[in-house]
Formats: sequence, structure tokens, C-alpha cells
Amino acid sequence: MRCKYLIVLILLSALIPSASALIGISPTDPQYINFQPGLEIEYTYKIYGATATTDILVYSEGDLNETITFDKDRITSENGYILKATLKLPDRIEKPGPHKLFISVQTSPGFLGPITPSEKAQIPFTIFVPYPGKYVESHFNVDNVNLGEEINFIINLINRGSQDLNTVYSTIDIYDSRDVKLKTLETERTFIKSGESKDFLLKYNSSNLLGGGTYKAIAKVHYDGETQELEDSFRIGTLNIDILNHTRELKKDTINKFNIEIQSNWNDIIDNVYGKIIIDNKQSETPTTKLDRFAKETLTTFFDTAGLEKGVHEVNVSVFYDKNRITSKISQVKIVEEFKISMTMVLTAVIILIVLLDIIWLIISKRKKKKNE
Amino acid sequence: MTRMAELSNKMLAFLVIAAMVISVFGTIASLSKLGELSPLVTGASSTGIVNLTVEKLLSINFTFQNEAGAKVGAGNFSWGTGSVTGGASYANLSSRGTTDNWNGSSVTGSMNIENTGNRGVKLVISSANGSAATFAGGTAPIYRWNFSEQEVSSCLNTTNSEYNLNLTKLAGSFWENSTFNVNSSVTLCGNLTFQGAADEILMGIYIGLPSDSKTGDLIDVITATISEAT
Repeated sequence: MRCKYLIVLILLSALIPSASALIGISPTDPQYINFQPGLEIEYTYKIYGATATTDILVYSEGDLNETITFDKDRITSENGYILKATLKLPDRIEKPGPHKLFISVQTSPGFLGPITPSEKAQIPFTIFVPYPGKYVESHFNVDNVNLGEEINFIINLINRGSQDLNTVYSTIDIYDSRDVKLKTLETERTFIKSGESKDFLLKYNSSNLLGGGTYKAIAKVHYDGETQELEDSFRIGTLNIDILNHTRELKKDTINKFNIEIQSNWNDIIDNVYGKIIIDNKQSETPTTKLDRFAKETLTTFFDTAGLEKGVHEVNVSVFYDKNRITSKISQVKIVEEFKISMTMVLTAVIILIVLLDIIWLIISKRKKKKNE
Repeated sequence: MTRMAELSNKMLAFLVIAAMVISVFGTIASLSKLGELSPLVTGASSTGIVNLTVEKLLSINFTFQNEAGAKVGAGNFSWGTGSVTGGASYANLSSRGTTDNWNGSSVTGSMNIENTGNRGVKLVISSANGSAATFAGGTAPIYRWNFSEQEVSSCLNTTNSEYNLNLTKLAGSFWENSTFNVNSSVTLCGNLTFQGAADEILMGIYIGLPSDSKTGDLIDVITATISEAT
């Protein structure tokens, strides 16, 4: 019998609403809409988090927020979790350009304390109203590659103007690091209707340029007699590592930290990277690591200078990577002696001081004696 | 007898050839019959299809967390009813249990903000009051919030959505490093991630209540707003 009551209690406790406050909305995608007079679109969302003690408020906010209406303005634990939203654009919007608004759902706490938390989830809507005449929104991107790979030049164009574009094409000029033009590429010519977009993709093999290094690409977008200029830079990677710098000074007869600053010139991860230093037949190695694409890193090892004389020594710094590749650098490192005050020095100084004081005291005593005589 | 044997061999050869022809035609007929029947017998080697659609979900949970780190459900920061005591110019109230010069109750804990969805989200925190002056009034009131990562690397940045609070020292620094005056709205994380071990932020509150503050109920609603990180 007791067991039965216990089961009933457990079932009843499951009906008690969760004390935790949560909000959820699905799907989540931001919406991008090109303005069309009178356009009407219906959206369906699932809203989570309404409980017996917490309702969820539904509203739109932002620019043009009046264009979105809902089938309910409050979601409760009783009226279901499906929300229908309708976007209805007017026949005309005066201000051209992007207009941003949000569908917002927010918990409405059952009671207010001094400082009460509330959760809110938003779906952003961007409505693009065409600019009068011809207007192109453009994006240009070039990714880094390794030597021998194809370079992809991507130009994304969106016709944000109210007029169609009859002749659209682009040229891309490639420059080296000294601004010397190396190559010009050109896309096909095309037509872009108002509100539509077009991607141009041009490929060029990196072997045809000047090897590894940094390059600049300038894209000129030509549309019906007008031009826009865009710029991006890219790197062509070669599988090697540069030694940028290293520790220049070490203390004598001490275990010293020795840093080696390195940089990858490769557009991919380089595995099994470690450094080795040799000074007067004594050597030390760093732990093995991996180097991210074009990354700078500091390799660290510890070097014992015991037995090495102070002064300038030749150091051989090597970096090993990718199984059998090595970058080496012959350089110099200075071993310096640290000035330390030892107990012997202190005692010697004290003795010298006492002797000096004695001598002074003797001289003064003799002078006084002479005066008295 | 020999004649019988010769006839018998011929007959046997004929029968063998006839049997082979019948066998070949029989096999063809059987196979074509099986082909006709195949729709009826697919259950013999059926294929199970599992079909489910996983939706993108934006979800956030704002719960009260005690000092021991346990989430104890919905709640708010409430120091009860009281006043600045002992002729002091300020009462210092913090959600870490501090109640100097205050004869109301205390709050020990923080608000845990957890991304419970399956998308990274931009997290904006806003205060309905927006400033200490609006919230408490009086001479030089203080109203600050404190943020830290309950789980390391929860609060990240994106190229399109950079946070506008200096959160470089969030990890493991609750209360020490990341305390800011309450603003009307701040982007806390460009991308509050949703991975199970990196999706929680903590928020604490500090109030410096001047003796000449407003009286009556001082109320504020702090809203955590999320939208998909881009």
C-alpha cells in the first residue's frame, strides 16, 4: 500500500513544473530577403520553455518591425509551442539599403525580484531595399596556398541596385611584395538582374608566380561603365621553417633557458618540429611539437654552460621537421659571468675594513700623543 | 541382343539431349517466374530505414548556481528588505555573500548562463535600468556585474561578432578580473559555444548602495539575448 502511495507521489512530482528557466527556438537561420512590393512569406517556429509559471512573450523589434505579425503574442504551457510568423512587405519602402529586424521570444518571469534574469532568443531578418540606379555589393577573397597548388580568386557580386546590370566582369591583377605587377586575369562577361548575385571564380597555378612569399591581388569589378576596386593578399607556402631569433646571452656555470623563435612558411601543419643547439661540442634539444600554418612559435630547451669559458662562442642552431628537413643557422652567443657576493668576499671586506680602522686609530693616537708631548 | 543394345544407346543419347534442353528451358522459366514474384518476397531480405531530422536549435538556460557549483533552478538576486546601517555612507552587497552595513538578507551564488542548444550563439546581456543611477539613485551609487567562464573556452569571438567587454582573463577568475559597470547592453560573447564542456558563463552582481538612495522596491531585469553566431 505504502509503495502505491510512493508511486503516486513520484508521478505527481513529475507534473511539477521545472524551476529552471529556459528558452529555445527552432529553426535558427537568419533570413535575408530582397525587397519585393507586397511580398508575403510565412514562417513556422517551435518555441520551447513555456511552463506553468513562465510564459513566453512573442514580438518583433528593430527596423520595419511592423512587417512581421504572429498568430499569438504569448506562448503558454497550454496553447502549444508552434508559432506562425508572417512577413508582409509594404508596396514601397523609402529608405534603400539593409533593414534589420528580429523575431524575439522572451521568458516572462512569474514574479519580479530585485534583480531578475530573463532569457531571450532572436532570429534576425535583413531586408534589402534596392538602391536607386546601379549599385553593386562586392566581396573578394583569396586563400593562401602551397607552391604548386591552384590559387582560387573568388569575387562575389550582389546587385543591390534597382536596375539590372547588363555587362559585368572583373579583372584581377597580381602583384609581388614590391608592387610589381606579375599577371592579369579576366572573368567572363555576364548579366545580373536586380537583387541577384553572381560568383566569379578564377584559378591560377601558384607555380607560375615567383615562388614562396606574400602577394597582393587587386580585383576591379566593371559594371555598365562603372568600376569598383577590391584588394586582398595571399601567401604561397613553401615547406620550410625560418629561424627568426634565439637567446643571445647565457650565464656561466648555470643551466640556462635557451629560446629559438621560428616561423613556418607552409600553408599546412608541420609535424615533428624540434630544435637543437650546439655550443663547443655541448648540445641540447627542445621537445618535439607541431607548427600551425604560417605560425610563429618559440622552441625552448635548457643548456648547461658548466665548463665553458666566458666570452663569445659560436652556436649552431638547427630546427628539424617533416622527418628529414633541417634549417640551420650559425650564430653567436655570449657567456657572461654573473657577479655574486659570496660570504668569503663579505668576510674579507670586513677584515680589510677593521684593519683600515685600526690603522686610522693608530695614526690618530700617535698624533694625539705627539701633541701631548 | 546387339541390335537392342544399339537402339538403346541412340535412345539414351536422345534422352540425354532432351533432358538437357528441358533443364535449360526449365531453369530460364524458373528464373523468370522468381523475377515476377520478387515484389512479393522482399520481406525475406528487408532493409530497415532510420529516418530522423535534427533541427538547429537556439536555446539558453539562466539558472541560479550556489557557491558549491550546483545549479539550484530559477531564482533572482534578492537581498530582502533592509537599510544602510550604522551611519555608514554605503552598504556593500555582493552575490558572493557580502552584506556590509546592511540589515537585510544576503545572496551567495551566481547566475549560470548555459547554451543548451546545438548552435554557437552571440550572447548579449542587457539591463532594463542600464546604470547605477537609474537603478539605485543617491550619491555615487555602484551597480556592477561580473562575468567569468564556468567552463573554459565557452566565450569566444567571431570575425563578424566581436565582444565588447575585455574578457581575456575570464577563465577561472570569478569575481577578480572581470567586473564592469552595468550598461544598458553589452555583447558578452561573439560565440558562446554549445559543446558540453564549454558552454557556461557565470554572472555575479555587486551593489554599492548609498545611504541616500531611492527607497522602496529597487527592481531590475537582466536579459540574456541570444542569436545564432555568424
